[in-house]
Amino acid sequence: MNLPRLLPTLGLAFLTACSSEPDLVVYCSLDQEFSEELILRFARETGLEVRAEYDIEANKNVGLATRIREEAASRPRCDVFWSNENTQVVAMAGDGLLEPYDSPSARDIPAEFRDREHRWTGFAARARVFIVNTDLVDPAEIRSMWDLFDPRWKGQVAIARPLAGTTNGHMAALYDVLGEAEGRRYVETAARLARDGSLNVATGNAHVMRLVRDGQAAFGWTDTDDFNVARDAGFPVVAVYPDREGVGTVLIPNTICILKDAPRKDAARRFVDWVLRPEIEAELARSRAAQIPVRASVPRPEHVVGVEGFKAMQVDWLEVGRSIQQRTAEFQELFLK
Amino acid sequence: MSRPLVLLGLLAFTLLGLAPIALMALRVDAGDLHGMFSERSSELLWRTALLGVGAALTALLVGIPYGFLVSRTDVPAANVWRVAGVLPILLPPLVVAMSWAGMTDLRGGLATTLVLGLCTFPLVALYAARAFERIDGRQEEAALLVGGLRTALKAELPLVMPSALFAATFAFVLAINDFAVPDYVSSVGPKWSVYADEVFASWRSSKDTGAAVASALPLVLLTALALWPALELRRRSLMTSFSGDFRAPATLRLGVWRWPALIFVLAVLCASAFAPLGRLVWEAGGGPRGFSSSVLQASFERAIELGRANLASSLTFAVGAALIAVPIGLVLGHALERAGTLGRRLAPLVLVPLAVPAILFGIGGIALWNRPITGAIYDSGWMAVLLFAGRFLPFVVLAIAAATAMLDPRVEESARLAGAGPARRLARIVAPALSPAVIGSGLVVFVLSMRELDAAILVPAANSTVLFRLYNAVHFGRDGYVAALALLVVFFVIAPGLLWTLFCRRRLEVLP
Amino acid sequence: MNALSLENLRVELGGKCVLGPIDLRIPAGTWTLFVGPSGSGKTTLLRAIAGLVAPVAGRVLLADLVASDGPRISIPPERRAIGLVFQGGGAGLWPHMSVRATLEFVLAAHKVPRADRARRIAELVELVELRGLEGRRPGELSGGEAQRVALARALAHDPKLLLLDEPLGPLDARLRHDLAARIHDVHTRRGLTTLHVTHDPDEALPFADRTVRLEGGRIAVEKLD
Repeated sequence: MNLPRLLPTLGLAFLTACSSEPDLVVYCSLDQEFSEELILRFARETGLEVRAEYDIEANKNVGLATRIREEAASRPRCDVFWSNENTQVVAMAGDGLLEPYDSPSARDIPAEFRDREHRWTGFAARARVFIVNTDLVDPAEIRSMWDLFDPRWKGQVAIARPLAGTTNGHMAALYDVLGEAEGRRYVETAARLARDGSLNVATGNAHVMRLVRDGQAAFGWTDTDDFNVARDAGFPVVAVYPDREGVGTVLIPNTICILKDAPRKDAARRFVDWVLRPEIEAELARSRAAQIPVRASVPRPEHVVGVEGFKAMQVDWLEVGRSIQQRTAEFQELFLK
Repeated sequence: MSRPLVLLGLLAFTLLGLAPIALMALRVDAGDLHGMFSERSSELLWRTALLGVGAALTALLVGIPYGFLVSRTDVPAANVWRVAGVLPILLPPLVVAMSWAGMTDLRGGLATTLVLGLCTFPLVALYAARAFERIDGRQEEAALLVGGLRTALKAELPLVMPSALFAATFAFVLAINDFAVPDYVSSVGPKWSVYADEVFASWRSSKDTGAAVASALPLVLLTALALWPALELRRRSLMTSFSGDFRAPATLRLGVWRWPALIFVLAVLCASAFAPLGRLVWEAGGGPRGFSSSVLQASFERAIELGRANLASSLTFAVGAALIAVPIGLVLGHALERAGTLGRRLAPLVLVPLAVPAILFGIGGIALWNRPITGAIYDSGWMAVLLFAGRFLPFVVLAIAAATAMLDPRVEESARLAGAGPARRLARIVAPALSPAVIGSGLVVFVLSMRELDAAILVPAANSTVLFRLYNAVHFGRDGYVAALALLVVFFVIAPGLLWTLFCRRRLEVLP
Repeated sequence: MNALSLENLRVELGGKCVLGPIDLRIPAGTWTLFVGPSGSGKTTLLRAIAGLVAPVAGRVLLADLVASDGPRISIPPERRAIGLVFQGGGAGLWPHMSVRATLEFVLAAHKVPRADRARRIAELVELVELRGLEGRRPGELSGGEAQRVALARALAHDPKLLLLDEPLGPLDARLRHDLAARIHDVHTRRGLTTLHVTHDPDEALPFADRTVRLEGGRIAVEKLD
């Protein structure tokens, strides 16, 4: 191998391969498995060259939101952020990072899933549910979010650490829905039980799903898409939507938004219009992600419980987004001990 | 030494290894340091330090006897176990943790310590083995005549300890910076948090990035505190090496202890490598739903189909990083050793990229390279290459410095007297003479780059790496395919070293 | 004319004076033997002359040109036209280079035209009687053969000054005598100025024009032979 010749060749190959400017840059934290095919389809249909970048679910990942903020400070790169949750996007809106856009495709999306100033739009949601191993516990015995702390299930329950992802948003939403004191009580109880091992704290929602499906835990908090993976694989699990008679359970939508300093806003708007169509919601519902259409009229498979099939918590996401960092700091104090 | 070449090397190192960190450091102001050492975070730090000490001790207790047995005794197939002993350091610790969590009920701090100790013992074993081999045969024979093997080992242990402790400091550093293993291992039972958790959490809870950067400072200080004595230990370990007319020690006969020794070696390998790899194979073949070869085949086919392009990207980035890091490391490592006192003073600077958490390095990379003038680099695969090269360059520098210390200075002096300038001497005389260290350290950069995710996850090129795909697949519980993909990654990581060992007589010098 | 002059030369290692002060004049074309016990500074003297170690005081002049003045090196080692054969069988040989490649390297460093290199290499190989061994590397040579390669390498760039640091040390009596005679032959034919360090004066006494005895880093005795 002739080293002096190899390096410039490598360099040329890299730069040549990557130097063509795309027509659109999308950052997407919905799992690549589901979003990639859709984005590729958009590219085929429109003829636009789309560069999509994804995220990983891991507690150690600071997320695409952090990257967007960093890049915005030096060289804005991202046009559209498609997030698989909403609190980070709401916080970004509060920080003035998003461009208002009232997409015509979003007109039939219920108001509670749309930002009043049109800075973001929610669609294709996930519900926070208890995944229950039916070999270990009768699902009828799990009715409320507080059952997680029932001494009967000591050491047999699980939750992801609420410092990232939907668990973070879920716990933050409790402060809004239950009130400051009750919300704090829930989180403090969880933290206390985690320290003595009564409540198992997993690395993420997928890990909670694995613990329950493998019988290492009886039930635990997860998202409906993670639950669906276990259900689809034939494990003895069901999803319980707690507090049907009470406050309900959290429904966390995907959110899509255009960055204020997006270099390619026209293409960004086209993409947002394309994604927010009911057909895309239907497709995401049919996929293994089993996302819940926010539009009641969108067809979905039987195993995907629609928004009318459970009680969704009424959350002021604007308030949650505003306070998310403060809440996360509080969770940090409680759980990192 | 060629001054212009050394300056160029320093410039490259500053750009790739120090600039990302410096940019992060500049964000911290006095106000961000307030509350850095709260009672809670101090407790986390203390626990993390204990974890590091525990892992280092475990690595020492396992690694020193392992290194001795495979390098100096008549344990059956010692050469094979010596090569195999490198496997655990090549496996992502999380893979080992997941395997053991699935096979035992061991959890919490103890399990974390054991797992991280087992994953890092090869460092101690490699250094201890080399140190044992550098004991003059006549010294050993004199001790054997006095009181047999026990006396000889008593006399030799102080000579081996500087090397072993040097390696143990790296085991300490790797352990205290690990996030994934403590998190995973304490997923069942009492939660066991470490300081690395605090660093990640701070990025989510602080609007002010200066505060988030400041949150990493205690961990950086702890890492630096460990690496500082490492340099002194390294210097001492080199001093106890060859001198004068060295005579290699003979193979020691263990007698009745030969088979128990073999059991020990195999037990260590099983716990640290074979069991995790076996579990991966089992999961790839169907795992808890029943193992079958057809499922195994299907898992590998799917892994190759979906992961082929990602594997190619990861391999390209890793090779690119090695090709960049090695020439820079050769220049700086050689200069570090030959520059005498000045070199010793600059040595701590070389360790800075290793002392900083990967996330800081990654975000610093964004701050440095995501600019209009360098945007094309940031957007391309080069970003991953440069990030890896900058982060792992210290390994090359230290390995070359150590190898240079062992090189007879007369080899370079004669080239100088023969009229060769410094650049020609470095390229034509020093580099070939140090080829085991040059190639070995390049392999280290390759291996670490293949395994790296934490720093790279923040840059565009990360999406195309195989570890990125692996983590995404784990999320969706695709166990068989995930296990097969993990095995493919392990294979590609160990393949270059394995090929070298099988086909090349010269042993690689991979150690700094 | 003096090929080499040392004026009040002092060398320190580790803060300790190991050589000097030394005042010495070496006429061109002569063979000077340096003898003395171990640690008397003989090797340090050669290294200081070659520029491989910087003195703390004094001057080294090569044919009346100041090569070093105190710690300041005016002429770096690679430009001093000095050949040095190190102590030990083939010490300092380049382990990855064959005999031919070693000599080729030196000639290339001195920008000898490619067309002339083969001839020069053949002459050197003949000079030290290494014909047939051109393709061998140091690890494949005996002690005597390795020393002859070291000698050929030291002579390859036509030095004016040849420094020999115990060149015959590791060899048996017969080989020592043969190599000494060979070196003297080269010295005479090329008109070299040779400085020969040894702890065994008998090995080169027949060839020496003068003998300098060093003790404790200083000249104890200097006599013409």
